Amino acid sequence: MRKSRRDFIKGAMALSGLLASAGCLRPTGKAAPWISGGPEVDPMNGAKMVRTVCLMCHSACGLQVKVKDGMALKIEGNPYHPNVMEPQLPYSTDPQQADKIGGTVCAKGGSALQTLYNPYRIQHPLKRVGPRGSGKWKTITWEQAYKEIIEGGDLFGEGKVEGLRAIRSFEPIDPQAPELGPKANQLCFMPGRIEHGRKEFTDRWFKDAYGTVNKRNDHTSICETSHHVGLDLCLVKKHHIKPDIMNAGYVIFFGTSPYEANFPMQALARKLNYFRERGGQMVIVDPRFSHSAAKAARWIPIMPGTDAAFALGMMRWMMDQDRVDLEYLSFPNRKAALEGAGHLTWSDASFLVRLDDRRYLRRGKENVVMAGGKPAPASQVQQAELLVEAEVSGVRVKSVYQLLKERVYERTIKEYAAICGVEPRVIGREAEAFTSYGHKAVADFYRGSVQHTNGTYTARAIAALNFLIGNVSWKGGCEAHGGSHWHEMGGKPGNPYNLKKKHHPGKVKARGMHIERHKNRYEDTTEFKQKGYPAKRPWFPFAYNHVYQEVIPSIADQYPYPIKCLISYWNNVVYSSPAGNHQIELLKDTSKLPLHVAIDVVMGETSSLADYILPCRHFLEVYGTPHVAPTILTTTSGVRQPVVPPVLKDTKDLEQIFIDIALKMELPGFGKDGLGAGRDLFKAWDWYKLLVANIAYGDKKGDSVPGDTEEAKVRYVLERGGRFENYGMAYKGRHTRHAYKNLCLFYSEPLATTRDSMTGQLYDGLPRYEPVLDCLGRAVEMDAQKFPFIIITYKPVYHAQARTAASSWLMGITPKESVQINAADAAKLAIEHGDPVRVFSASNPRGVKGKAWVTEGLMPGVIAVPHSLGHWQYGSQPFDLNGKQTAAAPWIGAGCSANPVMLVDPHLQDVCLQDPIGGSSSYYDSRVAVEKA
Amino acid sequence: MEALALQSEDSRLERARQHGYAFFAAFLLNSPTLESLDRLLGEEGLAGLHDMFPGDSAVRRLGLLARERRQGSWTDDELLLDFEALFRVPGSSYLHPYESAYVTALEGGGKAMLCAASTRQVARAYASLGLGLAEGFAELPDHLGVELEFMAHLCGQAASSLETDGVADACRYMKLQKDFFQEHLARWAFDCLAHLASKAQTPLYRCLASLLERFLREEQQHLCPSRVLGRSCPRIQCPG
Repeated sequence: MRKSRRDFIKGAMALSGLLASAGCLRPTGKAAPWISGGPEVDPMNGAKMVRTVCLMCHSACGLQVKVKDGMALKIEGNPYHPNVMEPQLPYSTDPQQADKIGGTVCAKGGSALQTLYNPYRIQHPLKRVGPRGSGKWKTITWEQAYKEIIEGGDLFGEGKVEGLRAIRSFEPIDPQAPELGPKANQLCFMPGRIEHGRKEFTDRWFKDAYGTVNKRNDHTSICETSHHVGLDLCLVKKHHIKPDIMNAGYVIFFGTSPYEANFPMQALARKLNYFRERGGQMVIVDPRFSHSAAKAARWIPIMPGTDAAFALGMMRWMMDQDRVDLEYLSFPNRKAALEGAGHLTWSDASFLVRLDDRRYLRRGKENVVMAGGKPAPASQVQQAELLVEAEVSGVRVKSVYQLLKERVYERTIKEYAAICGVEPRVIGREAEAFTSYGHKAVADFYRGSVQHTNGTYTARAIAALNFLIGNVSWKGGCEAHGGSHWHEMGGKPGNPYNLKKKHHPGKVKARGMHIERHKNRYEDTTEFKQKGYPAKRPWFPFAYNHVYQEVIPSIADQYPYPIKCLISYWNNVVYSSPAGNHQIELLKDTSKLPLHVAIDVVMGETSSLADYILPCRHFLEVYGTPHVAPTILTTTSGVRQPVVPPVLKDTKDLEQIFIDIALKMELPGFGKDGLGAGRDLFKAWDWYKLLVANIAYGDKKGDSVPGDTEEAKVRYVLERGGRFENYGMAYKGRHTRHAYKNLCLFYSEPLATTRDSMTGQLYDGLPRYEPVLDCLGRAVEMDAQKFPFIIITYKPVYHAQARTAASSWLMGITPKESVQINAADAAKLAIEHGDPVRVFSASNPRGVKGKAWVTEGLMPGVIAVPHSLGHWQYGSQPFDLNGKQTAAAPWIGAGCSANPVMLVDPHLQDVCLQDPIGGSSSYYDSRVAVEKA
Repeated sequence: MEALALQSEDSRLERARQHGYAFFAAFLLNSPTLESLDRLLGEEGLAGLHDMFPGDSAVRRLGLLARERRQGSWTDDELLLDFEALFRVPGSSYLHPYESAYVTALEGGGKAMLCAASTRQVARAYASLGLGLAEGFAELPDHLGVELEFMAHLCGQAASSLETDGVADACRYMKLQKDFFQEHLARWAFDCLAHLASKAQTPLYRCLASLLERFLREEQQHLCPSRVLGRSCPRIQCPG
């Protein structure tokens, strides 16, 4: 109790006016009733919970959506799904119990409601009525659209156009070059984001029914494909690593911000919170002070594109200081590694490499190592010698570790540091930390490290850091497998339906070269035999994930053959690719691309350049079986399913569009008995019920979920939004349970023995740092005086790809300032925070305009612009429909995009700089200038 | 006459309480400036605090801080950084100064959430009096400073009512004060202030945490059990 009311009043009155008022509450002009202690009104009362999988980004987090009266009201995380809860609910939990528990959902996932109910969605099939790209459209029926796309004709008053029926010919495109394949290849499918279930469905349609090899040229090369390709050249049939964060002691992330992006972002961020709470050391290597950097033990800003130099510098310190796990490296086979030190993996460090043809030295199929000064088959040796330089049967050989060490010692730590723009001690400090946690330290990387012309080499350099400490598959170490998934396409002993090999009567065999030449060797062509090097455009024999940005320029170049019809789906290549704006005019050219059919949810920048737009459904209205990243150590098969009836009745799901066309064209494997005798394929669920059944029955005999019938088992899975192994199954002893158990490759023989299609030079089999090169292997000339900044991109946590701009919630929390510039750089240019600025480059002198975000949290000499902004279509602008202007929301086009100012390859002139090995497009190698606008 | 005198005294007390709440709200929501620090640590500010909290060691410590600040032992930047670390930048010193974070942590076995039911409840309480967050104000409605500001508003309304002979209205505002204090501030503010005291790196915020804690304890005493406000308003007595 107050001692003296008088003094209290006196004192408080003295304080009045002493400070400015907080001023946080203001009259609103109207009072709303509130009863103290009254229960909260629950608008969700009576809502039904439907569990599905998100697609606002690629993390594939489980969602549970509250649905009432056919409307999706609220989105939470599905508590069965390991992306959104730690630990997730036991799989046997009754779904009604689970209804009471909400997992986490990020801002993007929660705002999926707004992209579902987006008023700017395309509502009916559209046909252009002006020149392609003129923005003039009319509504047509599905029947008219199907008829014209299939049968062709003088569709636009511009001359005859071949339809799908005429293009489907099995005659060769060029009898003089039979390797190109049949004319059916002149149909090209180019989705943007497409996921499992749907990937396999469209492969079935394009490859196995229509007969084109151009089945799915999707977006991964504008994402991080060199990360996958680089790892694919380091691991056997595996191409994704992630740290086991829950048990690691130290993680260094190169070129990624796990608290904002990467995937699954929610799980990474949550696990990193636990990691940091127990004293884990997180280090972020990134030119930008990201939110992750803010939470890190150390932030290391380095020059874009120099991550490989940093990794090689760390290796140099580790070798200098004897901090390499030489014992692990000396094990040349599985048995030796397991018995010698409990490793599940082993490496090629001791394998001998011939210096004459760059291949491994082999006896029969066996690799050869040196033991006791004598060559021996790798399988027969417990521990092999690591530093070998010798002559075996007249052939000069070196061990892989010898070659690696020579590579690493080509530069001093000081020289590596100078490349990166850091102090040498920074490299030494991280190398020391990295080697201080046994197997519980990990070097991880993602998009920022690899979307460079040197991306694949960088991926291999960072992966090699892990191999040098022998951390792969250890608890707390580098995970190269993860929990993976049940095989929805079948083929395992427990699966009832083998959709890979059966259930497709009348299947045809597609053959020939891909339009963007992924997985194809130039040396296998008639052109090479006639002309040799260089090829007209690059070939990408290692890019197993398609080369997205190269598709349209190749079509425009009619190389290696002309395309007659492009079907794009949810594709926004002209917006999303670096220098994608250069592809706009290519897409408008009807002489090079006679027919472009876009399947899309909205009027995207790329679909606006189509002849027809077929409106498809939102991910909350369709099926799918997406997978998760190896961040998740337990087996996980999420199942996407419609949560509400179609919001727009005249839209169709992607599968239905292709089923309809297949039925009209009488393609094999669709319609009555399409999936084999007694199994029709008339609608999407006909397909997905088999996939979900495979998940429900499991891969092994006796691995089934509960249920007396197939239908009951399928229902069991759908009620839970998928199938999820219980949390406690993540580990087995000292290792992860579903661990990678194979070779770790410092040296890539296929890479070392393959020539680049443009330069004719052999690739390098070892980790390597190289500067920015064009497709002819020339250093890209960039005038640093005229263009003093390197431009980079990043994903803020509230945005992902192109599609998040359609949410007013997300755009509402997006700062208006989108061009980040270092404060010192800004001061030199007299730019203040919020000033309008123009960013331009040699490839785009006109440039883009945005507002400056002046910050100390960016390396000097670097400009950062986030993804997802700067739309010029997508509902931000009206278009002409049936002679009237549509409504539009200019806020969708707020901010600016960095892509239009990125450099085109100086030789090709129509596509961005590219990684010749992985096929990645370069997002971080362009120099630009900035000025006040 | 007796009732009028009581009313007048009560209106002064309500006005004083309004200023007390507003003072602490301002300190929790606004970063310290040269001007605000000069006023708080000046003669007038320290005297006011001394009168409000007689004999409190935190007031003495603030007096010492005033001297240290003049001597340069503490810079205004250090005080500003402390505020930023405590209230603005998620990091090891960050308080999460929101009711929902504390209440859900208690109810959820340590798992805290923002924007939970309590956030909506306080927003509805503000709306019931025709109040909303000011345009451009970037904090959540259940920030400790906002809840204090709302209490200041209720006290101010009660004072105004008493000043204009609106006893019934004053009773309503006092009942709202009690309800709001019990349903919200009493559930979490003391825990939050304990964190503030332990995480603050400067004597300024340690002392303010201590003084606000004392202020709220006294408020708790004042509101429940409450004294009888004259004869005309027996309903505001706490039951029992």
